[in-house]
Amino acid sequence: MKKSMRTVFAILLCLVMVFAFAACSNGGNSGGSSAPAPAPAPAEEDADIPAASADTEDNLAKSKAIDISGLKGSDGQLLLIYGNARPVPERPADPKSLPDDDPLKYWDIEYAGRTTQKADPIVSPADGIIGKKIIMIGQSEHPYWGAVFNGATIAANAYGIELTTWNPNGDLNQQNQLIDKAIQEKPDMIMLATLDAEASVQQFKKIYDADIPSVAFNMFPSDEAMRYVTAITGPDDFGQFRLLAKTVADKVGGKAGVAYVTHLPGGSPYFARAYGPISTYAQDYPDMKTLDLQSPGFEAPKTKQVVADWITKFGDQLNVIILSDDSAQSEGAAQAVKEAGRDDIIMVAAGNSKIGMDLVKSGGLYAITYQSAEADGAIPIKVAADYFNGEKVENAYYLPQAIITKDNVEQYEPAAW
Amino acid sequence: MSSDNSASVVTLKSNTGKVSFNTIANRFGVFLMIAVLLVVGAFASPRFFSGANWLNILSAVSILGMVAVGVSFVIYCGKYGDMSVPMVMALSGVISVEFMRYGIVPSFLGAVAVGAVIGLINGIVIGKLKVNAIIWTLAMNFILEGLIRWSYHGTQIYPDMATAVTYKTGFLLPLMAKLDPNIMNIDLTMRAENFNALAQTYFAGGIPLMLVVMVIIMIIGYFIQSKSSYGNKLKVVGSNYDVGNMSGIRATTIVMLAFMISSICASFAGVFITSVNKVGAFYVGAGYDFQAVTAIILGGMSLSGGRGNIIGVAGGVIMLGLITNILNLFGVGTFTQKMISGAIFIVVVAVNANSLRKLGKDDA
Repeated sequence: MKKSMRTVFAILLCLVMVFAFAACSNGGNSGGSSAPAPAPAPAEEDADIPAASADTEDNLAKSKAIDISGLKGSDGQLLLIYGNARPVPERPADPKSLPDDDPLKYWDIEYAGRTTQKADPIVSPADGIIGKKIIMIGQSEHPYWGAVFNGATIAANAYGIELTTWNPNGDLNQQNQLIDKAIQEKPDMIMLATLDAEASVQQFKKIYDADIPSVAFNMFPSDEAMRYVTAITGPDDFGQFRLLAKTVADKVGGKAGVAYVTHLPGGSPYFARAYGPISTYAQDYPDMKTLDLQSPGFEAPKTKQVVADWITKFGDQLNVIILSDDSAQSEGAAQAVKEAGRDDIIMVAAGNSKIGMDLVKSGGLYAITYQSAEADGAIPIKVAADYFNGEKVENAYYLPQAIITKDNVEQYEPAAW
Repeated sequence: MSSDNSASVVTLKSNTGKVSFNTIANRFGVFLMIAVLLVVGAFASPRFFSGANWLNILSAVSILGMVAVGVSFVIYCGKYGDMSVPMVMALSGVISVEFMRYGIVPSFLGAVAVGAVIGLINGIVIGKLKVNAIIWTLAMNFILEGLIRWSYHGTQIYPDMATAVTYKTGFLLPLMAKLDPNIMNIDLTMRAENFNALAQTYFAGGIPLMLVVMVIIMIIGYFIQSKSSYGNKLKVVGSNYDVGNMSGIRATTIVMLAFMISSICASFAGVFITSVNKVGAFYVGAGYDFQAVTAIILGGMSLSGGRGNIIGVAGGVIMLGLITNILNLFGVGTFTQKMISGAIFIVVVAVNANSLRKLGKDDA
């Protein structure tokens, strides 16, 4: 009995602490299962925010009248930017049987959805985007995702969309549960950044079977999953990294020892950010030799150790390091290189976070890719608007490709995250 | 593998007068493994024994070492572990970034004060109310995570950037803004550089400040745990809580202090890892709870408490750094590294448990 009382007291103490924090605050977001509401970003152009309860009859006309092409994110960059989709080569009969350094081995990931024969599409009601209920399911609580949801919210507000954002904390089971929950809520559309390319087939089919249109964003699902998806939006990771790989190779005269700090194994960025450059080098720069690949995760201390160990092991053979993240990974790598006095090692990374851009300015990183997190969230909203406004929707929308170096870094400041 | 702190005279001979493997394994297991790893490392790279490589190994485990010393007090007193370590690190990091605007010393003091308060709460609840340590500290971890994410809207904070938006909502920042309305007007540039330089400060020959701090914490931890009256009481409480109580030891106070030490050590680690990352965020420190427990177990400390010491913990920490270094030098991939590390962990713990059993001690 006494023990039970203690347990009850401990639980009460716990609750009191939580409520005390809440009471002391000036407001804040009471999260629940939704992602924390992103801080409102200053849109430079005043978007005309229409009432969600617009009459159905003229909803379409009002929806089509909304122009958010000039809308900007908190980083001052245009939110609705698409790059040109690269031409699609013919798919090999069995891509997986090709060697690891063959660019076509990754065809199913690199060109997912581009030529897919879709299942019978869910026809758009073509009654206007205003007032539509959209659920957006992301991947994790990484600050990048905060910026993604921020961009989505800015665009959704401009269109008068009722947007809900959810986060599965990087857990596939939780993401599947969120999909079930979203289906039960019967939204007008579900947007999903799948955590697993293989699992994405069932995820998108389930949404399709519930007669709810979907958009795959940020992370590319498998080609098979694209049968059930209205469109895919996100960074062209392979394109970006092939471009980055060429930039580095040209910098070092096409001859170097290269080591890779990878993204989390399994997802499309893992292949794009490691095997994108490896296959590019195998094809166009044969003297760019791969020394090693390691996946220490997104922690500066662990990446620092990996890079320091590479310097010990490879010595002067190590000339280039390609990193999957311009934040913690790059910071750890930069410190290892500095401590070893190996400023000659050229490092490049994905993304344009504040840390990444600071490292570019200080010379710690030679180049990074431009990947607007807010645009990553806003573009699927634009696709939804086109869909509900009865306009033509393409299979894929890519973020534009660009390489940021010391020469142009100021154009991309301030960072969105 | 473990060496009892009361055993000032090392006796390696068994009852039959022979030095048994079990006795050696019991007392020096982790260091025998380190010796084996040194031999293996020699084959991994000709530069394995270079000063630069050793600085790299020790520097890589500095933060882990600070955490492990703190958690070892919790385990030594028989409370299995402190799962709130990751968020204590994260919160201390965030607080140190916020207090950094007043200078490095207030930054450290603020972080340590926060750690001490959390440790005190943990200690009171676990020591006084007898709540299960794992469950409570896990709950505390969740509460702190929510607090940080709520206050910062899931974003990360940079030492050189005042996040004006976050000062309007949440808990921590509005409170700070109320205490000091001029908080946004302080020039952060130089102070941020000083804060970021913490992780990149080196002494003679390039010895990182982090490493020096870890060694100091280990030395202090050793004396508290093995040479002080508090350490003796901690051992008694860890060996048998009820006996400790009946012996006149204020067991709740002993346990409370153990959790405070754990959180304070995690705070130090939190400040340094935040300086390494140059960013304060809720995810900083993730995984250090389990890594610390791994190092402690490898070092021969018993989960049931009352057995082991800081020297063993230091051995466990170094061993983890060595394993990663050697496997990287051999070019072993990340997945294989995890499998090999797991296998080594199982072997060491099995040998330790077996030797304890044969020596007539429990196998906890």
